[in-house]
Amino acid sequence: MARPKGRLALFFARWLPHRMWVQAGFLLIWLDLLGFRYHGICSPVLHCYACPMSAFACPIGVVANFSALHLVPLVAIGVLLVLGGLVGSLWCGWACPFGLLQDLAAKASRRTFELPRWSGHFRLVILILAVVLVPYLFGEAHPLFICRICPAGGIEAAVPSVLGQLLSGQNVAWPSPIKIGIVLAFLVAIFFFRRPWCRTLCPLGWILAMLNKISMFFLHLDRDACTDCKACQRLCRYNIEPQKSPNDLRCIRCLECTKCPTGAIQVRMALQIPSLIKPSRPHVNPGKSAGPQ
Amino acid sequence: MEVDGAWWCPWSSKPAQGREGPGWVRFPFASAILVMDKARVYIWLASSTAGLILLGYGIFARSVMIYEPPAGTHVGGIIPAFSEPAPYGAVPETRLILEVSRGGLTRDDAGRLVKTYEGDRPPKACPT
Repeated sequence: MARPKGRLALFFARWLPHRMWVQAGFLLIWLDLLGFRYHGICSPVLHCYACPMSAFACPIGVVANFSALHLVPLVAIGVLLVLGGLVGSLWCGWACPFGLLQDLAAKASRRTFELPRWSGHFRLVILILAVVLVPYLFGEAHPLFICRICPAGGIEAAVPSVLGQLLSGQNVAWPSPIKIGIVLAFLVAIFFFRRPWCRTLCPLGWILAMLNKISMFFLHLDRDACTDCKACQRLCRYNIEPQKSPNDLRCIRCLECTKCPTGAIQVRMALQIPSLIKPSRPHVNPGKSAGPQ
Repeated sequence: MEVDGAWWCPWSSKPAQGREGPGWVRFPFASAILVMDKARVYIWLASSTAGLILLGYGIFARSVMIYEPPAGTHVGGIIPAFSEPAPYGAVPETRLILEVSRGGLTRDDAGRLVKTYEGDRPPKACPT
């Protein structure tokens, strides 16, 4: 593997083997473990606000509910533009708690199957239909309202809620059969496909992936250094061709492709402050003498 | 008075040697910032500025009038048609987000935003 160029690339190269621990660390922010509970602001990740431990509001739930109330969700749009515009779908790959659940399941799975590339366009369909149009036209009681079909809500909110009611001896308010079916299908799918929700249905993933095209943090492909060996394509677990489109719409920015043997794909910031991000020192091979013989 | 930096930013540092070429711009908070990809930077600046304006307006300036049902008239979050909701007050958008996150708001037939519960404690945590 080529040495990463720049401090930012070096930083991510060091943390890449521990990405799952970084995702787990972000749980300290998304969950209420630190005692910071503020549902008046959205987070940039998919985490249901009905979860008993959620610290922030889910942006997709807010957009859908505001659409049902015929209001424009300025705060949710602002949060997504500012935070999504900063790093794009790096939130999906490194911070999303629902992504962490799917990554853990994929790690436990022995064999995963590939999803067709065109399936990523369903995310836009879900965004338009279940998040905007159905709530706007029919209100939040419609069965296709996003919160009623979202597996994140089922797992993070409905399951703890039902368990709490069972343990406390209250009457159990069971979720709808549709939601139970979606949650069960999702729990099966995550053991056979890598991130099935993120890649085929997540509306937030589509918004953040769109922001990949303009985000401050991006993947830079050095076409002169690329030998078209397709090593990055083999490293990518999400059926993307990074050598053709490093900031692809289906990319969750797990940054595995930056392990490119020639160093052709590197993480970059569109604006670099030289006093903060200094170039790394040249690599010296200890086996060889640096000076002339 | 001798001015170190540019006329619009006298507190900035003097132009450093080797940082005068194309692609370098001066900012008051850094000696210089290297523009890696101009189109990306311009679009990012525009979208982030728009996002900050929306965020600032939504948090600090926007207020929406909401109503609450008369005491004892609502049953399980359903507001009877005959009840006339009383004004609760103008609330900021952060309060609206808090209310929708617990299923605490609905729009009645007259188009008013009405709370689905009395007092400050919502009837349930999960809106779905």
